[in-house]
Amino acid sequence: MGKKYIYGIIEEPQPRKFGFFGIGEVEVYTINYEKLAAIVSDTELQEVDPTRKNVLAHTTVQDRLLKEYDLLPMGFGIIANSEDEVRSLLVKNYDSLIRELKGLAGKIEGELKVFWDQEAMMRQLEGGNRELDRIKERIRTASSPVEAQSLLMQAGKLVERVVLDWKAKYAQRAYNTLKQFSVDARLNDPLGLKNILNASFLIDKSRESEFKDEIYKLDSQYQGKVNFKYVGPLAPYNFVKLKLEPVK
Amino acid sequence: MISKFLYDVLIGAPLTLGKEILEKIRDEVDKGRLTTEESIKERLQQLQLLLQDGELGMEEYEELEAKLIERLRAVREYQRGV
Repeated sequence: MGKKYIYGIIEEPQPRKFGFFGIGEVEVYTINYEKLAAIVSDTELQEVDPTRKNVLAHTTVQDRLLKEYDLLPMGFGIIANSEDEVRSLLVKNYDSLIRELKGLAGKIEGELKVFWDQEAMMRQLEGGNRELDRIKERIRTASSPVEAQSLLMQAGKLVERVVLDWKAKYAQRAYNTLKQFSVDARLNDPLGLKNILNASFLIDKSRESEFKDEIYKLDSQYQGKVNFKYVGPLAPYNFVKLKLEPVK
Repeated sequence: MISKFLYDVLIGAPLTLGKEILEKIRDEVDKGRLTTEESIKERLQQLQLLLQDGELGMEEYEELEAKLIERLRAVREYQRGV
């Protein structure tokens, strides 16, 4: 029997073929054990390259499953050696998988990133920041590159101060507000210097539109100073607490 | 350094954040500096984000992705002792 690429685990007692395709454009189906099913597709590969195409195929399968099931998602690139190995994974971890699925039942993940807006930041800095004006003038008349460099550093510190202020005023407030509309929330590492909030929220499916409305409200309150980027519904990667018992 | 960079970004210095990351990745690829699976996968993720954010065109993305995947395979083969 060939290798199986695993997308996730759902509660489904019946064997199913889904009629859509996964990595390598082959059919996605279940390997079942009692109430549980692992979602897999066949592969001959030992390892799957994390290309955009493959990552997209992986998340597309999960997105489609999420429409119909509560999904315990697997990270990209998990391959079992055989159908038996997949089934053993379900058998060995049966109780904890059921528990985890119950915990995530009816919930999805939403990902929110907030970035400060460059033009708004420029306006903020140009709008009567005397300290910055003074530094700019001194840079123009600096007597040596070393002096100019040191002045640039000072100017940068001023910008950093504004960024920190916006982070507290806008990003932290958005996070605290949205937390109230979610079941759980967590902060992730920022992506780049303009990213002042990168957070994941576990949301009741039934409250996702309410959650999104709240983002629109925050967006209009902040008047273009920051930009919101929301992605969802996603499989709840960041809220899976389970550590699977290895099969081998 | 961060302070200076932030300021450069704001006063319209030629480098945008995306370009800065791209140049770094290109340099790492060209000089063969990426030697672990983890570091290569991280760069692939960064590239995918830049593509998603419109800071990188598809053609350039594909070119860099191909180089990174080639590097990833070489690292994996080396680890397997092939």
